[in-house]
Formats: sequence, structure tokens, C-alpha cells
Amino acid sequence: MRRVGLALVGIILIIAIFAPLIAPYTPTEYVGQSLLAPNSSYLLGTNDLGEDIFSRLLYGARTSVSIGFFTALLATFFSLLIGVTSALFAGVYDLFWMRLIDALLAIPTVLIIILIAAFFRVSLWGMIIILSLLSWQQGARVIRNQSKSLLKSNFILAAQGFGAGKLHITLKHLLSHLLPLLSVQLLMVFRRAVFLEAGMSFLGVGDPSLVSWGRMIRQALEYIYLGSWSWWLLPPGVLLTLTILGVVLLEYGRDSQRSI
Amino acid sequence: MKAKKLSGYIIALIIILLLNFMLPRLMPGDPITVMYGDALTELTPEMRAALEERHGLSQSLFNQFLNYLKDIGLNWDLGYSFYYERPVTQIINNYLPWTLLLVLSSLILSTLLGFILGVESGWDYRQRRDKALLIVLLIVNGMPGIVLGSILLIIFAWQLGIFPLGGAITPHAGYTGLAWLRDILYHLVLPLLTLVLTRLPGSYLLMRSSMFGVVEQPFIDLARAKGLKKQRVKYVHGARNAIVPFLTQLGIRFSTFLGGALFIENIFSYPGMGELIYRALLNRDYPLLQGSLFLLTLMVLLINFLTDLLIVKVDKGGF
Amino acid sequence: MKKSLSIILVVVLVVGMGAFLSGCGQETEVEIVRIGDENGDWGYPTPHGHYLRGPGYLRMSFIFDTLIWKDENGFVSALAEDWEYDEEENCFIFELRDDVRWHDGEDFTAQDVAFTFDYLQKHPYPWANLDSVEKVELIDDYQVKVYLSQAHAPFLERVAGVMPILPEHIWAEVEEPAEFTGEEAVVGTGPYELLEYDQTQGSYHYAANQNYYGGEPIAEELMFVESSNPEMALQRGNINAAGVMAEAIPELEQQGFELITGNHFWAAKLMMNQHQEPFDQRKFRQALAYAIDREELVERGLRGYGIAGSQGLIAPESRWAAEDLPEYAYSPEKAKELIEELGYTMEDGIYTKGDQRLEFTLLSFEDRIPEIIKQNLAKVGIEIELRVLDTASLDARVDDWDFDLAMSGHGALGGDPMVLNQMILDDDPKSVRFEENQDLLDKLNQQLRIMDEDKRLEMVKEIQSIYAEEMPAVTLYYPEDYWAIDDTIDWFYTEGGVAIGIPLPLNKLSLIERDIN
Repeated sequence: MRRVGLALVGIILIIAIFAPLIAPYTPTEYVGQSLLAPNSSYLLGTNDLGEDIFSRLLYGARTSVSIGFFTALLATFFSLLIGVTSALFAGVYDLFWMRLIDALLAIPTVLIIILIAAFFRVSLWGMIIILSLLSWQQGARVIRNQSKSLLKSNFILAAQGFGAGKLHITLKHLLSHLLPLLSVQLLMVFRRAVFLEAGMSFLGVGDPSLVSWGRMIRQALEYIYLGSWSWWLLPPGVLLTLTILGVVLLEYGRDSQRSI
Repeated sequence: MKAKKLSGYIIALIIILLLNFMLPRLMPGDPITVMYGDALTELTPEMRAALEERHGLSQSLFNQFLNYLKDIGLNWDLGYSFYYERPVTQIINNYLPWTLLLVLSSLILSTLLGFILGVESGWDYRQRRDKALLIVLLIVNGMPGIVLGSILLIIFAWQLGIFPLGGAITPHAGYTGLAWLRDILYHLVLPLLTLVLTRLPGSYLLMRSSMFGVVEQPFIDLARAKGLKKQRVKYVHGARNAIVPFLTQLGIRFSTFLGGALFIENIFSYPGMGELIYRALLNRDYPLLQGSLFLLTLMVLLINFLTDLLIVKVDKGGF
Repeated sequence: MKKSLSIILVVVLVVGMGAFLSGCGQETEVEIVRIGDENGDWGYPTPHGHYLRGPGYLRMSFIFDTLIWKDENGFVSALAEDWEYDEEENCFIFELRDDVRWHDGEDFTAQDVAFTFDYLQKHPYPWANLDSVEKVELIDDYQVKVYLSQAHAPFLERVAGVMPILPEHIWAEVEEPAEFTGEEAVVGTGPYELLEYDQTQGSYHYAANQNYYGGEPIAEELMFVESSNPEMALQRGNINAAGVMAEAIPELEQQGFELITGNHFWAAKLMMNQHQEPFDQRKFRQALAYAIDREELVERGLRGYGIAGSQGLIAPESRWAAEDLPEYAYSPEKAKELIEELGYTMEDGIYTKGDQRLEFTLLSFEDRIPEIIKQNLAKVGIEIELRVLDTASLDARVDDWDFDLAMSGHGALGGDPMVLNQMILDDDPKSVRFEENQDLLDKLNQQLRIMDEDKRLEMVKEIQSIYAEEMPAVTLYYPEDYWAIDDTIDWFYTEGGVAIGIPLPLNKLSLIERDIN
């Protein structure tokens, strides 16, 4: 299963990275008559704006992957920072973060994200920042708990015993032991971010000029009547599903007993 | 333990109150222009001033916030909608039941279905049937509600014409009693199915993994030796083992169902909170947005809080 | 055996639901006319209850009548049988019908008209601005005189033809008209009575007023229902009429629907910040008009469903439109010439003067049209950066003069030419707020005072040519809307748009048997 996941994510990554090379047209370019059915020059036809759907599909992977990737990176960084420092400093500092995390976990983040994004009509980076700011809590708590028990265990105390660059060594040990946890965290945030970006673009919040699968699905829905959904709605739907599925399988493959 | 949890909820409430209030006011664009600006109407400066006065926009930000707190706290007044020209609570009253119907019925259905599938799957851990179920549900898990919903809409409402294209009831049909109920169900099927399917894997996986613990325990053999039927052993012990993790997740599950419902309502033009929030966003209807968000968040907080209490009880009850 | 337990449960669920549902969704009534609407809810159908956009007004207009109304050819009588302007006294005299009853059976009299003027002064109704009204005098039970504070040419179209008359015996006691609902609140004189309004489902249900003074309504019942996919709903027979997307026309026509298209009373404009160089130069503004290929905007941007903008702003088919306006036919050469006359020289493909380069940000609510404008302007050495905003933010920035160029648009271009005053002078983000030309200002103020229509038309035409010359904004295009209707009702488009200019074919007179005279 892990291999399938790896393959799926790999394919999406390749599409995202090489989109400009594979895509026959610029995604926002008016290439010809609008609402054409698939033909030899436009593999998936054109949309209502006369843009090449196939090219937009490929570029949509870029948006999804970059939002997923950077959000995962940023949110996991926050988790790590807050989790580890909470474990290290303990006391009021720890208490503050833990209470805040309790609070944030009780709040329905999807609602908040939609709202903030809608209010600010955010760009790609804005979206990444908002998603990151609301995706670190769970990870931070797990990392903090793990770090605490790691700090208690012997090997770190032993390292401290040598007195050489105390903090440096502590961190090094911590990090190496937190690595498996971090990779799960990365995958989870990635999946959630891809999912949420599609949803938000679908609702029409966020940057309207972003080429996004969610937005493609929304646009295609308005033209269901013309029967163009099979080449306009289905492909982004399938790619979105495959992306999320790929990550799910990777997550699952790490630990087959973990609940998802 | 309890005080700790409680302080978390209080902080959450404060965050929500502040965010709720500040967000709309950080936006460019003023609501009067948005609402009345379509050039078809003649808006004199006096009328404009009167509108601003009426909606309290001419006061200082701090006073606006004080009013906001006072209104919520004392009068359970979530403000007055610019667009609908009516109290926010009144509008929400019309939309909330539909969302609750959708969310609660799918929560029950998907939990039930997930429980059964999870028990069956976990019992046969790593056997063929388990693997097949797992793969199918993982694929479903990868499918976002907007994709699944769109496809269901296209196939069942559009291509086959079995279900309605949208809405929650047939307007002004004058149905009563059973016919009325049937009409509601008829409109509910597709959104419900979408929400149940997209959320099914969650409860399935949870149940499946809690079954692992059951299967390996010696009392299972004991129970079998006692001559208890296998079905009964499975389900009774499965339920016993799963109840705490299920309860722990209930609050979060409720909030994810709610989040999912927002998108799905949009696809099926189902007149619930998702549609309401979406329109409030389009119209920049500050009070309505604030009110809707606040109410939903409060509901989630409350459910989280109640399940926390319940877990304490269940734990003490010695399950 | 045990393994199929889950499957059985699923089957039971599905079958149970199916049995429960069979027999749903069948329609038997034939006398109902249903109109689909993507938005559904437009507010409670009373003057102060409906939302301020056109569809809200329309839903109210089926219940409440005005003094006069419009059909496809212009003014027709409504509650007032006859009306005339007395120049000496500066008043309008309305002869009212004496055979009209309110929905609750009470007689309608001049008293109600006088009351309504009074009431709407106290509780302003944005659709009918009564500033021009000095006082209202009752002559007898069926005759009123409305005195104006000064001559006000738009009075008939903007007041008499828009203001819904309210029954005094009900509204006299109402202090909060926006919150007044219930059976009494919707007592009017119109061809339909409200049965039910469902805000959540976005639907309206009316029954015919059999005693309607204008003739018997054709449809027994009338419904407005929300339909997010009007094309599908039409095809399924759920609705009888709805606005549809142009692309669906061939398909719908094939299925026997009639497709009607009315008017071009909405215009897209390219706003320019005249408070800022170089847009403060008339020559430069004209250069932009030459540089933008408006035919291409329609062909590519609107897929042909619209017409190119006329620089007098008023839609070309309006009776108020000037004919021989400067055309500003697409000519990049001419545009370059004008820019060079202003002292700019081309550097690296961009016109430059000193340290000023012609690089601007174009704000817009969508990106298809602006993209074409960007390409057009690139050809004449102007570089554009596009920013897509939502309309609220866009309006706010235009309102604060915080922009270079902006796409904007507004309607009401078919009705009274007072719209020119609103769109040139009013402090409104849709308005160009152009006060540079004194002659234009004077003429705009004068045209409101000319009660003779022919003389006024002359003035309005002059205003349009000055506007076209000054070019405070480039009128880009007028999009076209389509309605698909079946054969139940012959919906028509109203001259100049319903009331003050609603560009929809939902005139209540479509539902009345009229003797065409």
C-alpha cells in the first residue's frame, strides 16, 4: 500500500514540477473558442473563458502541491518550535501553550479558515500562512509530550553529563528521536491543506486568479447542463482524490494500526 | 483535570469572541456601499447616515465591541442583519434546523455504519475481507466532499433524474404529515449520502483499530468457551472497547461533519448554515457572519465540553 | 452468514428509503406559473421589506400598484387613469380610478395616495426619492395634485411609476415598516395576493386577484422558486421561465423553449483616476478609448453575447440615446499619436516622460476582460498589472480614489436620463464623479428641469456628446441576458426596464389579458 501511495504522490509531484514543460498552453491564456469539446489540440477541451482545461489541470497540481508542501513545512515547524520549547522550558510557558492548544482544538478550524480567507481574499502565500497558523496545534502537543518523555529518559541525561554544549546536544538528540513523528505530521498537514484549499477555492473564497482544482470543479458545475462535466469536472476531481489518497496511503503505510 | 479543561474552553470562547468581532472590521469596503450600491437606487447622504447610525457603524470600534458583548451576553442578540433587515437570530433559526438535520442524521448513520464495518473488519484483521474493506474505504477517504457530491448530483439528480436538483423541500407544495416527511427525506438523500460516505472512513478506521485490542484478549476465548454466540461477543466487546475513543472523538467529529456540511450544502443548494454563511460573505453582512460563526462555534464548544464530562463519567463507570 | 450482516443493513436502509420516497416529485397542477431564480430570496414583498435590488422590487410589484406603470411601449395607466403636468402651478394632476379595491375589500381612494406620499417621506423608501415633492393636495376622492418644489422631469419615471401605493387603513399605525409582516402587510391592489413567502427556501407563492381592475390574471397561481441550475429545472419542467446562460440557448430552443433577450441597460466601464497624472489629461483618456478594442471585448470576452460600448454611456437602443457620438473606433496608431502629443516617448516598449512610465494597476472583479484590455494597452506602450478584488473592496478603493484604473459597472441605463447625473456627479463608487467641465455640470442640472420631453432629449443628447468628448470613463460593453420561457406566459421586456429600469422581463402586465390598443 505504501508503494501505491508513493507512486501516486510521485506522479502528482512530477506533474506539479514539470507542469510548464508538459502543458501545451499557459493556463490563463485565451487559446481559442470557449467551451470546446476535447480534440487533438485541446486534450480536455476549453473552459468558459477559452482557456485550455488540460493545461489548467496540470497547473492545478502546482497550486495543490505547493500549498500542501509549504503549509506542512511551516505548520510542522511551528509544532516543533512550540512543542520542544514547551517541553524544555516547562512552567508557565508550557502552561500557556497547552491551554491555548486546548482552546484551539475545541474551535472548528474549518470555519475559521474559510472566514479568514474569505475576508482577506488571500493570495497563495496568504492561504499557506492561514492554513499553517491553524494546523500546528495537534502536532505541537504530540511533540511536546514526546519530548518530555524523551527528556526524562536516560540517554539525554547521559549526554548532559558530559557537559559539552548542553542545549545543542539535547536538541540534536530530541530531533533525531522526533523524526518519525515529524514525518507523520508533515503528511497529515499536507493532506489537510490540499483538501482545504480545494474546498475554499470551490466556495470562491481566496484568490480568484489562482489556478486550482477546487475552482475548476466549481466552474464546471455551472456548466453541467452542457454535458462538459466528464472532461471538465471529472479530471480535477480524480486528481484531487488521487493526491489525497496517495498521502493517506503513505501515512497508513507508516503504521498500519494507526487510526486515520 | 476539570479546571484545566474548563480554562481551555474559556480561552476558546474569548478567542472566538475577539476574532469574530475584529475580522469583519478589518476588511476593506463598507457594508452600506456593498448592500445599497447597485446604482438602481437613489441613496441620499441623509439616508446613508441614517443607515450607518442604525447599524451602529458610526460609533467607535471600542463601543461597537462593548455593544457586541452586551448584546450577546444579556439579550442573546446576535445583531441585526444588514441584508435581510431582520435580527440575526431570527434568520439563523430558519437555517440551523436544516444543517442540524443533515449533520446529525449523517453523524448517526455514518457512525452506525462505521461501527458495523469496523467490527467486521477488525475481527478478521489482515484477512481478505478486511483488506478489501480497508482499501475501498481508504479510497473513499481520499475523495473530498465536493468531488463526491458533484458526481452524485450529476448522476442521480441530473442524468437519472431520480432526486431533486436542490433545495430542502418542494416549495409551497402544501404537503402535510407523511407526505411532508417524505418530501424532506427525498431532498435529504443526496446531501446525506455524500456526507455519510465522506465521513464513513473516520469511524470505520477508529472502530477497526479498537477491535484489534478486543481480538487479542483472552476473555474472547473465555466468552466463546462459555458458549456465547460469536456475533454477540464481537459486537458487545467491540462496543465496550470503542466507547471511550468514540466519545473522545465525538466533539471533533461533530465539527468536521459541520465543516463538511458547509461545502455539501453549497453543491445541493441545501438551505442550511453553509448556504447562509456563503451568502453572508457575498453580501458582506457583518452581523450575520458574526452571529452564524459564533453560534456554530459555540455549539461545537458545547458538544466538546459535554463529551468531556461524559468521558469522565464513563471512565468512572468502569467500562 | 455473519459477514453479510453489514450488507443487509445497507440494503435495508436503501430499500426502506426507496419505498418511502416512491411517488415523490410528481406535479399535477397546471394553472401554476413558476419562475426560477438562482438567488431565491429577495426579502419580504413589501416596500420596506424587500432587498434593495431589482428582483426584490419586482416581487413586491405583483402585490402593490403604482400610480402609473410601463409596458413594452412606455407609460400606461395603473391606479391613475389619467395624468397631466400643470406648468403654471408646477404640479402633476392624477385622475384616479374609482373601481379599485384593496385585497381586503376596502375601497381605494385618493386619501391612500396622499397618505403614501406622507408615509414615505417619514419612512424613506430608496426606490422612490421624494425630495422633489413639495406637497400633495386632495381635490376629491379620486383626484390628487402633487406639487413639486421645482420642475423635476424624472418625476413620472422615478416617482409616479415606482412608488407603491399603500392602504392608509393598514399602514397608518405602522411605525417600523421594515419589520411589519403578516396578512395585513401584503394588502395591495395588484394582480396577485401573497399566499406565502418562505425566506429559507427562497420562494414566493401568490394567488391571482380575481377582482383586479386591469383585467383577470392569466395564471391562477404564481411562484418564484430558487433554482441553482435553471437550465436543468426548465428541462425537467420544474419551472416555466428563468434567466439562462447564453451557451444553453441551442439546446433549450431545441426543447421548445422560446429565448428572449431584452436590453442592454447594464454597462461595464473602465474607470480612470482623474485626480492623478496622466488621467487628468483629456487627451490621455481619449487615447485609452482608441487603444481598447471594444469589439474584441465582446467577441472574446463575452463570447459575442453583448454589444460594444457607446461612449455616451446611455444604451444605444434607449430613446434617450444620442446617435452621432464620436466613435473612438479601435486605432492603436491614433492612441499612440495622442500619447506622443502629451510628450511621452517610447522606451523599451513603454511610453515614458521624465521618470514617469506608463505602468498602471488595473483593479477588477474578474480577469477575463481585463486580460484583453491588458493586451490591448500593451500594444500602445502601456503596461498593466492586474489585480482581482471582490466588488466590495474594489468599490471601496474607487470611492477613496485609491486606484489607477478599475473595471466597474452599473445598470439603470434604459430608464430616465437622470442616471447620467447619478453616474457623473453622485458621490458613489460607480459614478465617475467628474466635475471638471462646467458646461457639462450646468447641462446636467438643467436637464432635470425641462419638463418638455423633446427639449429635454436635445439637452440629454448634448450631455452625451460632452461626456463622450471628455471621456471620464471608457464605456466598454453592454452584456446581453437571456430568458428561456415556455408557452404558458408571454413575458415581455419593458420599455426602459421595469420601474426605474430593472432589465428583467418580469412585468406584472405580462400576466394580464390586455386589449392591445
